[in-house]
Amino acid sequence: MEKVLEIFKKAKEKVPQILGLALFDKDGLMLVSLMDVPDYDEEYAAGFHADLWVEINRFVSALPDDIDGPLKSVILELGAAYLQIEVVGEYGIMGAITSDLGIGALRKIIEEIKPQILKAVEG
Amino acid sequence: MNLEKAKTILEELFREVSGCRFIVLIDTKELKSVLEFWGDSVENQDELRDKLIHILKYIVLDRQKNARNPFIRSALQDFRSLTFEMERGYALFTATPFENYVIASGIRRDVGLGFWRASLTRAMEKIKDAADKG
Repeated sequence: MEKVLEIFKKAKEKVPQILGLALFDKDGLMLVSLMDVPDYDEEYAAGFHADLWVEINRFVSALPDDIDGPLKSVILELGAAYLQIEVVGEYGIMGAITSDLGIGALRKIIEEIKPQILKAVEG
Repeated sequence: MNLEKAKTILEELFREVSGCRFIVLIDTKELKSVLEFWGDSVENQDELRDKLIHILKYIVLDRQKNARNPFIRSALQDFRSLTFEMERGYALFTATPFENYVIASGIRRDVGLGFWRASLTRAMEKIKDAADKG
């Protein structure tokens, strides 16, 4: 998991507008996180993300068959920030950036680090 | 918001886009739906309506009030949208120009997320124009 943290740190160095990056397991438990949020409460956030994951999966299972299927990502758009959780096999990669960069930039960051993270966790 | 006008405009949008599976206008203060349009493929409307309201409350509304981190609490005040991307489609919660109203919708993937978001924005503008004109 130290390798994952290194990947997050490098991404943050490259794109300072990143507010946070995190890796979850399939139950939503936070395995690694790098946050640049004032007074960030890691314990609280970890519990919240685990609950969130359960709620999201319950929600998706209620959707009509012709629009459901496996969940690929969740995107939250706020005035000042974007947050995305991308499902990657058994894991979830969460990224958050300031909105001046746009949601496309966040998707690109996650796409870039995804193979590196998979390699790190599977290796 | 003029709900009669909103009904006409959203119903028109629902009928025009064949891949749209549902549109639900949610009153976030009362936590109930005020307008609903469901496609034939939705068999569990009551369950889905409950889940839509629950997920909106759980992810956005509760945290706007109660998030322990003031930075996150403040960021959530300016909620714009929440999108779930599935293999076969999208489910979206979209803020409206009206305080206390959010639109939840579900579309098949072939509709295209950009097209749908633009269509919702245009519909909202029409509803806002109608409200401004009284």
